[in-house]
Amino acid sequence: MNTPQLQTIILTLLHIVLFLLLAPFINTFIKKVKAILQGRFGPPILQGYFDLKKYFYKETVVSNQTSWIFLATPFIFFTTTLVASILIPTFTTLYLPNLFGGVILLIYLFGLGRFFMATSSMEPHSGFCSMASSREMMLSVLIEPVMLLSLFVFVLTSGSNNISEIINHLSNKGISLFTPIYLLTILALFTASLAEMCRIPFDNPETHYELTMIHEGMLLEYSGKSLGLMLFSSSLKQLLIISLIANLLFPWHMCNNFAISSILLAISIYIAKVLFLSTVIAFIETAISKVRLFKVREILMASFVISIIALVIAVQKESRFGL
Amino acid sequence: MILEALLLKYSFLIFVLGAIFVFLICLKSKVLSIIASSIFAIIASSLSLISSIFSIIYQHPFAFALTYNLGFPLGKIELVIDPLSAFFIMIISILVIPVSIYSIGYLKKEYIEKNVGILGFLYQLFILSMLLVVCSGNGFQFLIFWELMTLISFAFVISDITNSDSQKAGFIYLLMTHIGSAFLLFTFLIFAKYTGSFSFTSFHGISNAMPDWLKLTLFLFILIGFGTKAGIIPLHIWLPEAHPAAPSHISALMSGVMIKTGIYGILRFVFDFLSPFPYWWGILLGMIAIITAILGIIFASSESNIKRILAYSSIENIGIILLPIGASMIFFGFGQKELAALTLIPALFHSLNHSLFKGLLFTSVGAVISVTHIKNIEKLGGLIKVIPKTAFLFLIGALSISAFPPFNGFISKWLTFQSLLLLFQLKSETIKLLAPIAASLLGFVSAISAATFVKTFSGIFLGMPRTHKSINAQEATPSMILSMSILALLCLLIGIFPNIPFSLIKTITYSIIGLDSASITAFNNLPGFNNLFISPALVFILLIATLCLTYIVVNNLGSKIPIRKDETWSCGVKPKSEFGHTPKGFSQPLNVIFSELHTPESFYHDYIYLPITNGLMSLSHKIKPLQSGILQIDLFYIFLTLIVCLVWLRL
Repeated sequence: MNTPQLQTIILTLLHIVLFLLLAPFINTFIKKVKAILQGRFGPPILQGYFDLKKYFYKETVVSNQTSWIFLATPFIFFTTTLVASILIPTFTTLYLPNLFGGVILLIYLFGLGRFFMATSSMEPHSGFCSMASSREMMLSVLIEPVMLLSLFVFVLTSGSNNISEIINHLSNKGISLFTPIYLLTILALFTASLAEMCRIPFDNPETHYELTMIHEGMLLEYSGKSLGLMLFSSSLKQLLIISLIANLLFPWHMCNNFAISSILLAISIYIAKVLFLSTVIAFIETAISKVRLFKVREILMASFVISIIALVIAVQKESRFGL
Repeated sequence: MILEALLLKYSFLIFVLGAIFVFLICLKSKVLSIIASSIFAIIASSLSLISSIFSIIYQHPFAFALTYNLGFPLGKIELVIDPLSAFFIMIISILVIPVSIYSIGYLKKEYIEKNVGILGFLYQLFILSMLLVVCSGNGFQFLIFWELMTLISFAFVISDITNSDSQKAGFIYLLMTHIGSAFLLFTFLIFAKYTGSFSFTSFHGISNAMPDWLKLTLFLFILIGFGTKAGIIPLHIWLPEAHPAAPSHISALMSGVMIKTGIYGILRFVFDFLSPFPYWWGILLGMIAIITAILGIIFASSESNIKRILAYSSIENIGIILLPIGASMIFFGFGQKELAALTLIPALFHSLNHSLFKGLLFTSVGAVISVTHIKNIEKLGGLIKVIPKTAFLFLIGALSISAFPPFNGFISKWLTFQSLLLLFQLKSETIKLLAPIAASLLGFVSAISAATFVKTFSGIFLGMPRTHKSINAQEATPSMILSMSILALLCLLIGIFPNIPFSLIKTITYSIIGLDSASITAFNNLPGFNNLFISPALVFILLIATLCLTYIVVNNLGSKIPIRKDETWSCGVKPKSEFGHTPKGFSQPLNVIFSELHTPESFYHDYIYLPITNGLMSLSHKIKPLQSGILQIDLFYIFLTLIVCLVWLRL
């Protein structure tokens, strides 16, 4: 095996391990920052890992109405999220394998995970689970066009649908990156991502009142290892989306050679980006409250319109100056 | 005669022989006639499948003529099989083989007390008529085959003679398709006026002689004519009525391939007979396509009848097929022929994929209906425990139609996205703006489609049974399971190895656009298209490997206590079947959100069809006084007409 391939494999593995290690931490980190902002003490910073360990040592109880789909769903959700993680660069853009489909594959892998989650939560025949499932699918209908359109603006202005190449293209622009097109698109993408991550104002991940839950409501009938895996996958998905936006916002300082020092530097810069964005999310969650379920449409429609405006500017600019 | 032509000729012959044989043998034994009908159809369509694949792969200019001399009434049947026809022969034959296997078990179970001889006879002729429609090289004969196809499928729609709903469905179907046929007849007559013949070869390029307004009128006529068959909104009203009324294996054929003959017609006319055309025709078609896709799937999302859900989803998929055709027409209008050929690929690819997964869904739904005798999903539920194989196969169909990797639907939808994004290269601000928005709306459509199929799958198979009938169900017969498995396997295989159908379709689209396949050069440099050949398999391997690895790791980690089964928590009372959401309840949030788009079914009737019928009625009332019923006056009218005709001819 020649060296570039070996480097690709090592860096991809490092990338995946980083994702897996960081995911529960980020979830707790947001909770902690929120707690501090709200004047509470908050959970210990390693609570995410403790929770996972707790779930993995509990007994798994499933409903007697369920079939193989209910037990397979945590594995499928985890798998789709992990495969999607290969598409999103963390600390390097050079070495990730170039899968076909790029952003479209990303959205549809998320969709596959969601399909199974929504299906499995219809299985126990519980009113709360099926309500959450139905609301999750409704939300996904609103999220997907916004996510796609805002990502397409990036795809079209950079000429590639591979996220690594988009980020490389953005980083080459230097400080002139911050054009209206770019800012509007990021705004639309970020709004849709909050919904995709099941965050306030769309969904409240911390509520324990069944009627207000969307994403968490689907997990009500899960327990033990299955629940642990589901929660782990959700936090992994959240980290994926945060990394995507963090890297689109600060496309610089990615690792571009195989020296240990530059890898370590890039990893620490990446973690700093993610922590910054997580803090922003915590601020947003503290500042605003969850909106009514059917008001969600207005927010997401607004961000759809924002990405259309970005597209209009991009088209105008291109026809006037030649991009 | 070359091999392909010979094979196709024998295939047609076997269909005709099969029809006669099945009809005769059913007097002796009904079971034998069901089996014979299936075997004849399988042999004949295998021959046509081989013929079509050979003609796509080996024939370079592809076109060859096949002539039968049948004497007086039909004369010589002109059949021209070019790559476009060969492609449609291929998708018809691929679907007919598993559907025929399915029909053995299905008919034995459901229709044995009915007249299976007639059903088998019509089945052979129905497939034959579809094949003849796509092979025909003569406008006049095309219309005859088109009518034959419509009439036979009409017979299937009304086959349940005890049900008044299916009689009404049959009437609407017959009426709508005849309006479509009338527009086609006009189109062919105008073409014949310009060329002096009905032969398709003479139609080619004749549109240069026509004025622009006439070309546009013809384009609109073929959109109405073929669009009625394909189910473009608002011409779709027959589709959700007729498809559920037919037997399930026929619904699979109608939804899977019969409506694709409309796509064939549009492709044939637009790229063959009406070219060159202005690029905005493509924008028009693209807009119609997006509206069809969005409204089709929104209707599907709130339906309760399983077969109507699938029928509406066929309307949606027709929209998805027409969208890249629109994109391709835009490129063609701009003179970028190579990109036009490239963007046409997803249209044909999705036609193939849709026929496979829609066939799978209709056959598995047919299996559900045959074991429970319920079509309403509100009354089903919990079937995964009694018919697990059918449930699994339906799930594969649902995943494919919702376009999830690693199934075939994802490949064609992804190609459609790529095609739309390619439009951004053109120097037109309107198109640059519309193309990405269309692409994001396509994402919207597929998200609703995923929601619809979560609802359908969970409504039929998951949770607790909502009626007692579904508890006593039994698994479908082996032949039905076999045929569904073939279709499911094809869905998966095309999803993993899309390069084989992709390269076949590529040669076809190049010939449709009129490019020499030697000029396929720029193709590999286009963004997104270049790594199709390895990646889908890689994604599949990654998914499977990660799944296995996670399973092993999670099972060996943590507690070793076995999984315990217990009652669903329902606030302390014993769970009842009323506690979970019904399918209607599941789709309620979606309906609330899209209440503006969600026009009731009567909308089309009240605002489009009723004004037309009222107008026609009042017109005929005004003409009515002319018809007095007195013989002398009627004779006078005839005499007057004769005089007018003679004078007009003399001039």
